[in-house]
Amino acid sequence: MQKIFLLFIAIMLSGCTSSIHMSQIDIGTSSHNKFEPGKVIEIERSQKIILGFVYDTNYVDQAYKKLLLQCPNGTSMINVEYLTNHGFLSWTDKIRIKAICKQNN
Amino acid sequence: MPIKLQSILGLSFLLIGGCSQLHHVHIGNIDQSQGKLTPFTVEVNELGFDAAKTAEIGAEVAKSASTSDDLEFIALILAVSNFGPKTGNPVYNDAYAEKMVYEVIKSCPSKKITGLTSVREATSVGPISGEVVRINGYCIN
Amino acid sequence: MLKNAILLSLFALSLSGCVGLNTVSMTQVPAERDNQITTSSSSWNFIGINFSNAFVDEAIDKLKSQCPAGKIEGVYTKHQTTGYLLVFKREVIVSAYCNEAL
Repeated sequence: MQKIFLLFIAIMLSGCTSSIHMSQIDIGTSSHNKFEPGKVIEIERSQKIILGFVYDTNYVDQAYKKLLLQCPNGTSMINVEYLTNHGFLSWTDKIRIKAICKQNN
Repeated sequence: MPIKLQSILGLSFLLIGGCSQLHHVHIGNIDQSQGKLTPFTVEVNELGFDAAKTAEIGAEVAKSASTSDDLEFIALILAVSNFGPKTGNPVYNDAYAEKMVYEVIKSCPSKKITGLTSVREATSVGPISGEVVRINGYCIN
Repeated sequence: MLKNAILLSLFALSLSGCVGLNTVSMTQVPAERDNQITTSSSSWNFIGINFSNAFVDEAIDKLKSQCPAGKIEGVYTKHQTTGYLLVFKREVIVSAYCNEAL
């Protein structure tokens, strides 16, 4: 009975943990340091890795390219988060970008 | 004073104090030429818990061999089920820092911000920790 | 005699320290780079036990004091740890350029 209980606890605590490695916010370059209020766009790209076998980090470049497409006039504020969701002998690396795009002048 | 009591006292002091770790720091450009700077801080804190390590510790301190074996087995299940790179202790919510950018936007009524510093740190007490993402900055008045 | 020589060598090696880079970050590098400012702040601990990360804020304050009415740009930040046997030094080293406002 005790073993079943312990196994139940182990299953409940398995495969649902995460770890945020970094979260960085920066203001765009402008002469007045003023960010223009606007809609915050959110981009997320991820890569599933099994047993540590990974050969590229293209998901980061894809997220960046999507950001460039959505903000053709540049950004006034940007937040980059890099995190990992843990799993059974595998994990998923994620990049989350949130940005305020500069509007047309 | 017996050694066992000394160890307990020593561990207690550590547990009360907490242990601080710095994982990542990024300092942004600081413009001090536009006016007076008023500092602000936005911080989020999520509970981190290393279940596998806790089970391993349990296995080592368990009095009976069968309990120790069970806990070692549990530690193995937890370790292989929560595989991957970790910064600090794992957390059970990956969206705890999602609102940071909105909080930073709200922090400055003038909408003029400079000197943003992003810090990823942790305060741990035994197998439990507070995983912190902190953003410091200055509002230009 | 040999044992003493080995112990002395190990002791001397432990004093030299072993440094590891934790993280590095940069902001956009400006075209104007005549006035470079640098600062660092550190925190010592025994066997890796620390109770505060306030030394990071100290580095920012020191940087600001070197460029009181200007723009600090091109900020390059290194976070490293040097180990001396059982004692560790955590350090944040920052270099940047102080430019006047246009």
